[in-house]
Amino acid sequence: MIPFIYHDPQSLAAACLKIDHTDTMAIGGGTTLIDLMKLNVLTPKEVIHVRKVLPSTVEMRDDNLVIGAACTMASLADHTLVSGKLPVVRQSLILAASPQIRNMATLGGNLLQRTRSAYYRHTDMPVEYEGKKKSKSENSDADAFGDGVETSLLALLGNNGKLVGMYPGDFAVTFVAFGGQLVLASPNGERIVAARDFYQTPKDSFQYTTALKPNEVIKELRLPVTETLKNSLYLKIRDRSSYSFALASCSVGLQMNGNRIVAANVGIGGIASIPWHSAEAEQALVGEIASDETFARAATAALAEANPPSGLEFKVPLAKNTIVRALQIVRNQGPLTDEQLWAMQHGRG
Amino acid sequence: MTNSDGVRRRDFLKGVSVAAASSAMVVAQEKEHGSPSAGKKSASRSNVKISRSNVKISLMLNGKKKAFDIDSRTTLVDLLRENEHMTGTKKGCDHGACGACTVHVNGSRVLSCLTLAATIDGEQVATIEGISDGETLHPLQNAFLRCDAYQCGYCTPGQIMSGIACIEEGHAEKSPGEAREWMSGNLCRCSAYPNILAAVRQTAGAEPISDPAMPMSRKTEEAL
Repeated sequence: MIPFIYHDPQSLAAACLKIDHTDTMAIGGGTTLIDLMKLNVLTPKEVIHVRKVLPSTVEMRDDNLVIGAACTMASLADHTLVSGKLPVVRQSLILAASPQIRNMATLGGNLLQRTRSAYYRHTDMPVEYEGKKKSKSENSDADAFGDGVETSLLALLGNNGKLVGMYPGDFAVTFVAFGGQLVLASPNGERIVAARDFYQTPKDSFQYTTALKPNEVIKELRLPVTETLKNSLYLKIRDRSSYSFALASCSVGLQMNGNRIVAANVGIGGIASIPWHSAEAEQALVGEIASDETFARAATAALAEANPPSGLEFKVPLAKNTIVRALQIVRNQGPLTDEQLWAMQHGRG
Repeated sequence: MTNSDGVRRRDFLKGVSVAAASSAMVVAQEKEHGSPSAGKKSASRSNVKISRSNVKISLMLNGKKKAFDIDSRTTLVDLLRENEHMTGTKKGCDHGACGACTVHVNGSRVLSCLTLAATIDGEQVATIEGISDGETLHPLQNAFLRCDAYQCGYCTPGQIMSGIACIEEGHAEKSPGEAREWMSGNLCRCSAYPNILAAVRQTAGAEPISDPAMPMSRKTEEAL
């Protein structure tokens, strides 16, 4: 780790004045920052501790769940406003990382989690693959999109035809799917940005960028508490039962009138450069009968633009089936209890 | 452990690690001074001299107040092992992937390898060294012995610290699936998972106290 100067500011205003997100970075729980600083991927000259100057409370305000950015993943998941009330929020938190990491990680930092791709995490990985474009010649194996590249943690959606890193987080998928908003604080005051606008797919970079400007810090998260949020599920498919990043995941919520879908929310994780909101899938669901055929059409619409690098073709049907299965569970069973969730994750007959 | 020349294994390793750390520092400084091979990620750092920076913190460490003057880069696991010579807490992956370094901060289980020590100034830290009452082991330590819940033992301090928190959180006594899920942040490469699960569940009172390796008929009798 490169030496840095550590600051424990007395106020959020004092913290914002210093933080530029390049030379001077904010530290919350440190679960991403310290990891990447040990790898010399991030090399700030100064580190500003923001956990104590940011709010960490959780409350209801005007039908919005308002979450202080310093609230930990564990505290939010266990909060009385969340546990047993907003299934997809709790599930996308407790199926992420491990209990230890969830006790440390703040929500503000969690939203800014970096890609896990080796091309980002290891400075000695060959950089010539970064930004490699899709080949025009379909028949040439040597020119195949991503051939010879370690593609496992690259993006299929929102890659703009390039080899770019996949966004690995879980909660942010729920946050974009259900129309969350961020309150960004700076010395000039506060502004509100929709989560769907906050994340920007990579154009010239290897991974996503955000709307966060120098001297701005995520202060608060707001999530509208809708009927779909109450009748919801986070389904996460991984290589092992727990403590693993998603191969594919989705946040879904349905509001029903009889067997007809009145409102729907769909987000997808593990396959896109940003936490992915699928307006296409929602459009295919709203106003329709909640049949398996409708769900299949929504899944097809969600993945229509998928552009898988070599070796990731399997993720297209995997993501589609994940969406269909999640929608079926919500339709057939409604919100799952924790006990049903463990049975699904660790079911051994 | 002492060899014929009277050099203790730990002292020898200390010498080696100082040498390794020094060479790592040289590499870091070469990179900073902008050699062409340093690449794009350190380009903006060329010609900038950065020297070590220290911070002063205090911790309630296993109930005793301790003051430290440490390099700002010091993580909690390094503070425990290198500054305090408390080597019970293990460094496994050093990247938050294995759980071997699990300790409690203010009663919650956390990863000491990703905890920057400066960020927990004034807070309470509990480690594996602090959980027994003198020679009387913590019930979960006894359960690990009884259930043979380890082979090499390297993950054990982290498993026990995580297990104590898991039981206190109430995640150990309901279904085995829930206990597995809430212990999943601690990897065991010897794969002693069934025995670890038994030790945690027995200590939580969810299963009768017994040695999982014994035939059912003998279990209760011999355990008593």
